[in-house]
Amino acid sequence: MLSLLPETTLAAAALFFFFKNLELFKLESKKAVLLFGLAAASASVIGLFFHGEFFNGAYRVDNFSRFFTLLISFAYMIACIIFTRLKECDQSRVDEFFFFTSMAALGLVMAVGSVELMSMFIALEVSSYPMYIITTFRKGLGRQFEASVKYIIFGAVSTALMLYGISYIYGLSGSTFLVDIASTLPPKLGNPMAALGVLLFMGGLGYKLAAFPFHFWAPDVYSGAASEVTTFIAALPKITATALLIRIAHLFTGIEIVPLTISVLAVLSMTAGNLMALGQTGLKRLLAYSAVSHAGFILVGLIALGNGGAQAAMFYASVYALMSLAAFMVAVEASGRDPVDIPIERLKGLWRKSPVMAVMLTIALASLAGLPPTAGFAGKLFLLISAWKAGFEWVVIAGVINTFIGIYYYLKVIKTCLVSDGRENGFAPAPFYLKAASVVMAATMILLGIFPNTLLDMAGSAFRALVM
Amino acid sequence: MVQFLFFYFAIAVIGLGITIVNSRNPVHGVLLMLVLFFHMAGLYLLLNAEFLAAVQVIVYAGAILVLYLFVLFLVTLREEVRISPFIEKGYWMGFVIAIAMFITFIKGIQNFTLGEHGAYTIEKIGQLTHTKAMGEAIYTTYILPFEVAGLILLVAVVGGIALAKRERKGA
Repeated sequence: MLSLLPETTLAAAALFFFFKNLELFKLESKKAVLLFGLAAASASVIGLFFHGEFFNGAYRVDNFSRFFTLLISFAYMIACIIFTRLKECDQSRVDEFFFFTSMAALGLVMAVGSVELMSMFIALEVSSYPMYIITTFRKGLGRQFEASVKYIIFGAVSTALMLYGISYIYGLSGSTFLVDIASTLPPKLGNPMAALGVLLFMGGLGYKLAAFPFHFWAPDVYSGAASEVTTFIAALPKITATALLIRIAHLFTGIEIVPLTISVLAVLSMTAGNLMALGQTGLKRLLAYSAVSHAGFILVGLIALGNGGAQAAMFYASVYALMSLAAFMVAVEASGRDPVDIPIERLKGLWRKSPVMAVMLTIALASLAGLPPTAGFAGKLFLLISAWKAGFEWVVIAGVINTFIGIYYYLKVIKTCLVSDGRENGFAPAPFYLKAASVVMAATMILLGIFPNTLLDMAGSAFRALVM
Repeated sequence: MVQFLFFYFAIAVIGLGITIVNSRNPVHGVLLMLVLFFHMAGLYLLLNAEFLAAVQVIVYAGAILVLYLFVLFLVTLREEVRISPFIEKGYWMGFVIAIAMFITFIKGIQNFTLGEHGAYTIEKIGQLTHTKAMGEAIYTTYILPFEVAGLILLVAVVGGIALAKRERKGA
């Protein structure tokens, strides 16, 4: 029974906050969410050692799903630490907020474990609906409703594309179980329907990842939603999207047009994200466009699955989740006084007020920019090496050029927070545990850059579990 | 005869869909949607899916559309909400993308292979009756998505209340 422990923990968290809404418990919500975050993270570590198959083969717990469960649970834990500082979220809906985040995390974990298309789809929906709702949880009348509506409409369209893709895959193979699809599909890979089906399916996931043609929601949702909500939306769904993209792309490696299409989308995504980020003055919008360009980098791993691209994409997804959580931790600290977005100037004088936060933000942004010796550099290096091995030289060149473009706007933010002087930016001193968490996160980003092999080996063994 | 019926239902569904999207009056839209759902039920009947057809009529036409009408009457929008275009000057882009997708799908459909796939063939469904076959599939093979769908309902219930809740003054 221990093999479903991570799911059970997250479900327990969701149920707890559901009953907390009815005022059945006296425990303070912010303490409880910290507790559940730690519980989920430790449960996912225990879960690494148990494997199994459930629900008629629709749900499989193996190295692959547990690797991503570990990532999601740890991201959930960090998000929970940030949630104790709720600044922009409506205080009268705190319990609902925690209920929805726990539920969304549960949906994301279940989507990773599902090896059947319908379960995968439904689990993804379980993760999407709470996120649509929490987008509106912001104090005052800002742009949160507009953001939420855009999020829902884009979500609905990409979900429709995904379902249509599933119907094609089902029509070809006669089954929604990935095991059966893998055994019946190979002779039919030449059929254009297979390519169309898998590309449509990936479209739905590209929306979660905010990759190029599906990224239009990202800047508005990032800046319109409360910073805490953006923290969640920016990190956790990307992990699941990467997992499912690898799962699906690996089944359809025989189709030539799929890696070709993905490579074009990857390059467009990197370029569009970076060019749009250049002129941004708002911190959250800047991070949104940087998310689009990073989605492009994660897609690079998919075109070279067999050449170490899968491991590289998994490594990069975990590093990216960590980096964006670190950046948003500072964003949440800086937020609370602006109607929509946080102007980058708000970070002025951060170095004076809170040196720990400033150093962590600097490391996180350097890592996002891909400067050595951070984890972001290692991740980009592995991705580009794998793409080179797979023969996509032009993607490598585009990736390198984009990295250089990116350095410019990340350095601009670093300069604002380290050098510029500002007296009245109203940073409240961060509590001790938040400083401790930021030191640990900063250290992890550096350590993963110098010794990437532990995580890379874990990703490798996870991918082997998928291939077998 | 079956083919004639199929084309009638299919064309009606597409035509009604376009009319609904273009209708200015939301009440007209909802009522046309009712007609659309009946035609969808007709399509399901042609596929030997009598249970789905009945559910379509009872749940969608009976329950969901009534809710829609309630919402429309409760939330009286005095003036139309106007928002500046999301993607500027992109009107023709939408057409290009739509036409490209249309052509892709039309080309794709030519590659469909006719015939039966999967565990449930037409004879088997005829033997078991559609309702029984569907019940068996839902409660055995597809038990996980069926159960997890319950979570979506829970989220929707809590979400509905959370969205309706007003922000407390000074809280």
